[in-house]
Amino acid sequence: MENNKENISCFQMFFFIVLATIGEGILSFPNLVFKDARQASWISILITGSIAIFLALTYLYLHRRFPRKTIYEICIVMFGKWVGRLIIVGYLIYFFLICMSINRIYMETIKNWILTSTPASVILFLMFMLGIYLGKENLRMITRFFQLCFWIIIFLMLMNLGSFPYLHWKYLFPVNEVSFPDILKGSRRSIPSFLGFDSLLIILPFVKGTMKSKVKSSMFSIVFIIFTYIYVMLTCILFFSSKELILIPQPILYLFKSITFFGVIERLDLIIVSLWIVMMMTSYVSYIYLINMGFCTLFHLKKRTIPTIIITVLVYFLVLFIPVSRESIVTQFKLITILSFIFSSVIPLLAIILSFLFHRKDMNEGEPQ
Amino acid sequence: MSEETLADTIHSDFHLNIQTMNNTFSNIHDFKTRVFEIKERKIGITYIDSITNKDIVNGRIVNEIYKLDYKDSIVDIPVANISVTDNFKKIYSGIMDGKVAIFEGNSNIAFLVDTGLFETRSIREPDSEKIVSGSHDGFVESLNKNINILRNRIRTPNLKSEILSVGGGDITTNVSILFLENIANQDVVNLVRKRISSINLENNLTPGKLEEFIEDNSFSPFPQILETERPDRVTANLMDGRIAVLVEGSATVSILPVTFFSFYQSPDDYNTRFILGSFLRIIRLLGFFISISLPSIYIAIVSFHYEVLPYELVTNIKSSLEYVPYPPVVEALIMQLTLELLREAAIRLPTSMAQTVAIVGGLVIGTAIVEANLVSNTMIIVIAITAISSFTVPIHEMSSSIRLLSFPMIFAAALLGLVGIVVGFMFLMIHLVKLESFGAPYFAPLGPIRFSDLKDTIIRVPYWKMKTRPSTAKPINEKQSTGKKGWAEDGE
Repeated sequence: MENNKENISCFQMFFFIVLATIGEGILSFPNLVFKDARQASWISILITGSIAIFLALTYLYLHRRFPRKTIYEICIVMFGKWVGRLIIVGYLIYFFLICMSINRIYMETIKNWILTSTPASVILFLMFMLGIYLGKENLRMITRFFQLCFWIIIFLMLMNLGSFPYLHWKYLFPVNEVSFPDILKGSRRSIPSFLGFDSLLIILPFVKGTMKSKVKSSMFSIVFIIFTYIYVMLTCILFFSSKELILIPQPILYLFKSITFFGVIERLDLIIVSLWIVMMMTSYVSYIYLINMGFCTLFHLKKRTIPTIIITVLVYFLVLFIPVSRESIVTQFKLITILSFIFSSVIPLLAIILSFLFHRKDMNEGEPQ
Repeated sequence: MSEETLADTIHSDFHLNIQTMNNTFSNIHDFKTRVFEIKERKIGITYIDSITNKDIVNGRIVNEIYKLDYKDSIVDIPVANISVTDNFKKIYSGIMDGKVAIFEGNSNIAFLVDTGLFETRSIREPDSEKIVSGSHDGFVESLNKNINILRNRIRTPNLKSEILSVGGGDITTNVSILFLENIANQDVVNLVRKRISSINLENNLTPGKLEEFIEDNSFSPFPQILETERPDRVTANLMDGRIAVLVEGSATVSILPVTFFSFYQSPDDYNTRFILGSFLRIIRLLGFFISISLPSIYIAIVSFHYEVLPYELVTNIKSSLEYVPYPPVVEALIMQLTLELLREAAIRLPTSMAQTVAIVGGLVIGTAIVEANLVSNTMIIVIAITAISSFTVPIHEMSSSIRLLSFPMIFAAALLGLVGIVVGFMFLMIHLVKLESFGAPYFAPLGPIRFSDLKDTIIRVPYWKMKTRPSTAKPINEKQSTGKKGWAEDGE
């Protein structure tokens, strides 16, 4: 019965993946990527996106071999009870770090842009409350909410159209001036923005539908993400000169700051930053969900209220009391990039290889409904 | 338990039976007993005078009893509805339903003849749900008459009506569940039946109380069961596979399961051209957002984010705010509370005096409060638009809920500006998404998205285009139209 409420359709999975992914990075990634890849930044994003597609395909392949198991359960099957559990703990720490980074970015952006005199504890408290309120729910409820939030992305993209009269196409050229290693460096910097599609590893067993429609849905969601990022990247490159774009940390907000909505509403950045909280919150909640599932596998829990409270309280206090410096953010970013390499690509690939070697698969359990 | 039923069985002593009846209904002035002795047979009739039809009692029962021959049975009395029982409990409840109980000689059975006559008012259009064009009748306070009105519209044996006797102790109320058997999902019907029969309340049952017992979440500000007094609305919902619950003695019919958007549908939408109908829908949904968020957006802008407005507008608003001595949130609260007071007063007063209240409240307070610099001009405008847009909801209950919700939003905006509004809306939306009405997601078809249901939600398409019924009630027969005009292919 519990499992029944967990199921979502392939169509709903699209929204989960998109909103779990787009969020934390979208304000700052044009600046980060541009620092290295310059006018070829969109190529960097394309490269990262292709890697994401490749990884998603491997996840789907893994899912085909173990149709009813999340990556946590697969780890226990493939690596044995103790090593498997250790890996699960690793996953949990990795997801937890992302939760922290989401909260930190959220807190700092809000504090710098709109609520300058509000104490950080209050700003974080909002996310804390939202995290508990939605995080303890099952996948179906979370996805329903994500479906509502999806329109915000479309809305942001439409608002972006206001910048079109001010775009300079010549900023895009010459592309070949950028060396290939620089493009790769740029794509490395865009990795944190792409994190979130790896939730496929956990949610795939709960998705109803044929393998074909699962592949279609997950591919379509990643393509949508790539498209969104390239669209944002391109408007930023074309709107700002290269000197500006290197300096400003949140190019999108600066872009919206300088355009108006038909002259009726100015300072669109304030509205955009408020709406962006929704996308941060969806990413946060999706990670809370992933951690919850890990907790449930580790301790055989049924209810998610307790793990949710533990996670949100920990995130709240750690983000609030660990002092922030420019370097600690950079190291956190680097750490997440390295961890994401391990947990999003190495371990799933290893699991596939091992399952090949030992001919371990779950197919005789029958297709999931 | 078995002893009790034994004690309730009718004795084979005529006088003892009449005695028992008299004891039970002692101190009831309109309880009548009449004993006849005709051709050596003792026949007694008992009934409550005020709720029985005298024509039937006199002409059909007393008259016929006098004509009885030796071997004629009481069952031969020429009335449509006569039943036999040997249990006093059944007789008691029968008499309270207006029936006449007939005891005969020393036999241990009694006959109940249906002669009930309860007064009802005549049918007229409900005041709270007026429409422009369409049918103008409404329900009344009689279960039978209400079912009569519905059967007039839906003439098929598939319209099932079950009567459940709900209550506790000896106080029960008749509740009827209506559904179309070939459309409604039996699982949902069973769920409704189960929840209704589980009610244990020793108090009179009204639709409001019934709903609080059976709804999924009592702590939500949103009504999860649609209450209406309009037969056309009930008919349309029954056709969508939903279930109507009628309660004896109430003109309100409850419809379930419903979604949030059911509250925004009005029979008017279908009686006007579809373009206009769609436009009205959009206006109403816009009204939802305005009435929840307009005061809070205004407060957020004037107290946090002046920058959002163009320069000329800022000077206008600033000049009107200049002499108001307190923050905008206090202004908004004063005005919202005044408005709620006015509204409540206007409802309680008779119609002729309500106009006085409107003039005093609207004109006198409105202008005086601005001239006294207690509230700014712009705030009056904002609150007025908010109030008007909250009245666009076709169902009164939902309109009250959303007005109530504007208060937390005002506080959120006063504390955190735009961020507060966004966070407030997120809580609201998460709540809406979490709600379920009898297994149906409350905020469908937006969360979860169901494309096939969008045709009758935000807009409404021409009716011949609506191929399927909405999926809220999980109807077993989804198809309702071919999707074409039947004559279009004839090459006319």
